[in-house]
Amino acid sequence: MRGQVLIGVAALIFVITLLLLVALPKRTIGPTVAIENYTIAKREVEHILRNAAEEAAYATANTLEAILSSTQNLRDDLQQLYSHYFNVTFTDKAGAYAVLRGVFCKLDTLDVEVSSGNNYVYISSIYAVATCDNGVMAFINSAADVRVEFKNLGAFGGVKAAVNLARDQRQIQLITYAAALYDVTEGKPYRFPIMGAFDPRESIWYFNITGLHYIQVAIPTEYCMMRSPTYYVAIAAASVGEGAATVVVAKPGGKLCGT
Amino acid sequence: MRGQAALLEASLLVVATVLTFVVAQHLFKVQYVQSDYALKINAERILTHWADTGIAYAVAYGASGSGDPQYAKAALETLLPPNVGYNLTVISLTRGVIYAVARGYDPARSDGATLILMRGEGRIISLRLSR
Repeated sequence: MRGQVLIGVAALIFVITLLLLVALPKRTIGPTVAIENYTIAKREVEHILRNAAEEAAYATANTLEAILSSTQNLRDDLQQLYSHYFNVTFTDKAGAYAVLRGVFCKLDTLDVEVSSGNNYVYISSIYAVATCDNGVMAFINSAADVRVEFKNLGAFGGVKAAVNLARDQRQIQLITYAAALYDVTEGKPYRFPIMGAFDPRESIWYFNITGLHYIQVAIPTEYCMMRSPTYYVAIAAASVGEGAATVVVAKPGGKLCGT
Repeated sequence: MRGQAALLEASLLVVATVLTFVVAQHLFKVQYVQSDYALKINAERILTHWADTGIAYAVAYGASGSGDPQYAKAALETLLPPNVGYNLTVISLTRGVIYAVARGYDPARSDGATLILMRGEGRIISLRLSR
């Protein structure tokens, strides 16, 4: 009798297990892809930050009118304008990403630094951190070093910018760039395109194995002849998917062409 | 006689338990085979490598902005042995499928991963591998 009860219990366990296996939602055992899933998610967010950093540089250079009409504090204005565009670009991209992946990310930290040289200012460092509701945290840390020289080339003026972009202390070899001239007369800036357009799709690609990029811009005669220049030269340079970018705003101190 | 009966009962109990586990294993195994984790992991690792090295941008955007299928094909075929099939599709978030390249791909025995890049209007790179 005791044996029959035992067999009955065993049979019951067997049947219940079978029923549960058939009726319950299927679960999978075996290796999980948690690490790979996390790595992909982290890369995607990191690349959103990188793309935002690059596109914000072009957006800033494209709308410098906003700060050039009054240039009391060009450094702070440039820093604020770039930070504003970084925020806007990141939010826009994070929104599209949330629709696709169902993951909400926000910008936690954004630290933009602007440096200056003789007659020019440029974005010299970008540090940004994003966190997402799936536990992913990503950051970018990039730097730019820029030296600008003004040259008298006879018939026209020249601006030579030596640009060095770096991500995590590593120099960037492939960059894209564009340049334009903003003439500010009576507080109203007018843009004159020089090279490419301030759009990543229409900018100029420049690869240099050394990581040092010489961006050379010619100033048209009608501007370089000015003894007291009213124009600014704007250069945007950015990596391709590496998160490094800079915007250079330079103002010559005198006549750049002729005798 | 009672001892033999007890032995028989115990044996039956053991058989029932083992059978339960065997059936359970079998059912789980069906699930395991339906999703090929090795292929999924490989696809994810390839996409991660591409994201880290910048290849993802060349594949998804290229110099023209419309991706580079020849480059994608070369990049994949240097990584995957000939017995592994693949289907790589690059999708623009605004323009739909930009291009797809494939080799010996069998959807019934495939698994894969996607990578989203948000440069410009955004791209989805879908890489599926099959045995």
